[in-house]
Amino acid sequence: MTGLRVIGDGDKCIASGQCGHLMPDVFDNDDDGIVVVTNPHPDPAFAEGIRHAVEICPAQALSLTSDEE
Amino acid sequence: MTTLPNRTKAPTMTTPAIHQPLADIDLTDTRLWMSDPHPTLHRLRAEAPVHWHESNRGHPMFGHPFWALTRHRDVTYVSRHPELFNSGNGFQVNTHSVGFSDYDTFAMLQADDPYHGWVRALVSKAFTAKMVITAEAYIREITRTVLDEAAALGGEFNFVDEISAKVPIRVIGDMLGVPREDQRLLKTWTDALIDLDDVVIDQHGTPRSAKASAAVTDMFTYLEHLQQLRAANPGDDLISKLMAAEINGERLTWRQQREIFFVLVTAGNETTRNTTSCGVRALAEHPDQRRQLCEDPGLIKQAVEEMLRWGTVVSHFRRTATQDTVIGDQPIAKGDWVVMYYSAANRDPETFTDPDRFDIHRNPKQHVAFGGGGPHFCLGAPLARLQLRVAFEELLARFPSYDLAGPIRFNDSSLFHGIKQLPVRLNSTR
Repeated sequence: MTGLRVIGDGDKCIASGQCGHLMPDVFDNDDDGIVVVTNPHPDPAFAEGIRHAVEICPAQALSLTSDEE
Repeated sequence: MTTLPNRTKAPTMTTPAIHQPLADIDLTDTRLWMSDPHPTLHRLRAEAPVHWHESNRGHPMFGHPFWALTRHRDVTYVSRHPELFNSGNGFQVNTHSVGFSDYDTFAMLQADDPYHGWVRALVSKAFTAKMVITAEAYIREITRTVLDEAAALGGEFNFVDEISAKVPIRVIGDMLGVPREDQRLLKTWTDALIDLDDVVIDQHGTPRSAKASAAVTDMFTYLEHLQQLRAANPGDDLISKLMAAEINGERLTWRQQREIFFVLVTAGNETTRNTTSCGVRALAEHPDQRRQLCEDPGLIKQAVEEMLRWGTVVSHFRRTATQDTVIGDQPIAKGDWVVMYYSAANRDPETFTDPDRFDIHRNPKQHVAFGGGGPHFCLGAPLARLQLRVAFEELLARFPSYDLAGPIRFNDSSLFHGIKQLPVRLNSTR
C-alpha cells in the first residue's frame, strides 16, 4: 500500500500562488505568498490535481512522491 | 520605403466599439491601446469570447490570424495547459519582429520544456520570494535616492522618466552586474524596442525600425563586452552566475546567456515601471483612495495588486495549439494561434465585480497581470511586488498630494500597454 507524499520547497518558491489556487485542500500560501503544504499526505484521489500543480509550478518548487506505508 | 499606415500617427479616439462589426475590431492596432481598449474588450468577451481574429492584411507585421481570448477562465485554462498550448512556436502576435531578426531575443519566453525548465531553474534562484524579501532595505534606499533626485527637479516633470523607470533599472542593472554609469543605456535600448513609433516598410515588405535594430545590436555588443569582463573577473552578479552555471552538464553558450540577459533587462524594467506609473495615475484620479493609503500604509500591499489588475501592462501573450482541442465550446485546430488577452481577463465581470472600477479594497488575488499561471508565470513577480509596495510607501509618505500636471500618453504598442508620459507635480510638503 502506497501513500502520497507532497513536498513544497519554500526556498525555491516565487509566490505565484498557483498551487493554492489549484489544490486548496493541499497547498496554502503564507503572508509573503510562499508555499505551505497543509496536507503532506493527501488522499490518492488528489494525485492528478497535485501532479498538475507540480507540472505548472513556475519555480519547480513542488514534488510528489509515493511513500511505502 | 513607405510609412506604415495608421500605425505611427498620433492617437485618435477609437471608434465606439458598439457600432463596429466584430470582424472590424483590430486588436493589433496600437491606437486602440493608446486610448481606452476596454469597451472593445468587454464587447468581445460578451459577444465572442473565443473570437477568430483575422490577420491584418494591410499590415505586414500582423500577417497571421488568431483566436482572441477575453474571458478570465479561458486565459487561465490555456496558461495552465502548456501541453495543449505551447510557447515554442512564439509568444507574440506579430509575424515579424522588427529589428530582432539576428537574435533570438526573447528565447526564454519562447521555449518549452526541457530547455525552458532548465533556464528557468537557473535564473529563478535569484528571484525566489525568500531572496527578494532580503532586498527590501536595499530597494527602499534606491527608491529614496530616486525620489530625492526627482524632488530636486522642482515643478513639473515626466514621472515615468524620473521615477518609475529609474528604480527598476537600478535594481535589475545591479542584479545583472551592469555598472551604474552604464545603466541608463539599458533604458534607452529597451525603450527603443517597446515604443515602436518609427516603423517603416522596406522594399521587401518587411517592417523595420531603425532605432530598434540599432538598440538590439548595441545591446548585444555591450553584453558581450560585459561577458568578457566577467570571464576574466567573475563577481556575485547574475552575468557571472550564468557564465558558471551548468545544465545537464553543459554550460550555456555566450549567445544563450545574452538572450537571457535581454529578457531580464526588458521584463525587469518595463513592467514594473509601467505599473508604477499606472498606480500613480490611478491614485491621483482617486484621491479618496490615496488618502486611505496615506493614513493606513498597511493597505498598500493589496493596493498594488489592484494596480496590477487595473493597469495590466502586458496586454497579451500568445500560445500555439499542439493538437486539435477546444476552448469553452469552440473547437481549436492544431497549429492555431491562441492569444490570451490579460487586459481583458483582468476586467472580466465574471471574476471581478464592477471590473472597470479601481478599488484598493478589492484584493484581486485572481488577477493575471503576471500571466494566467503555468510554467511561464512571471518569475520576477515577488521582486515586482516588493518594488511596487516600497515605491508607494515612500512616495505617499513624502508626497501625499502630488498632482497630474497634463495629459498622459501611452506607448505606441499593442503589447506593452504602458504610460510613457505622465506629467506630475510632487507638491513637496517638506
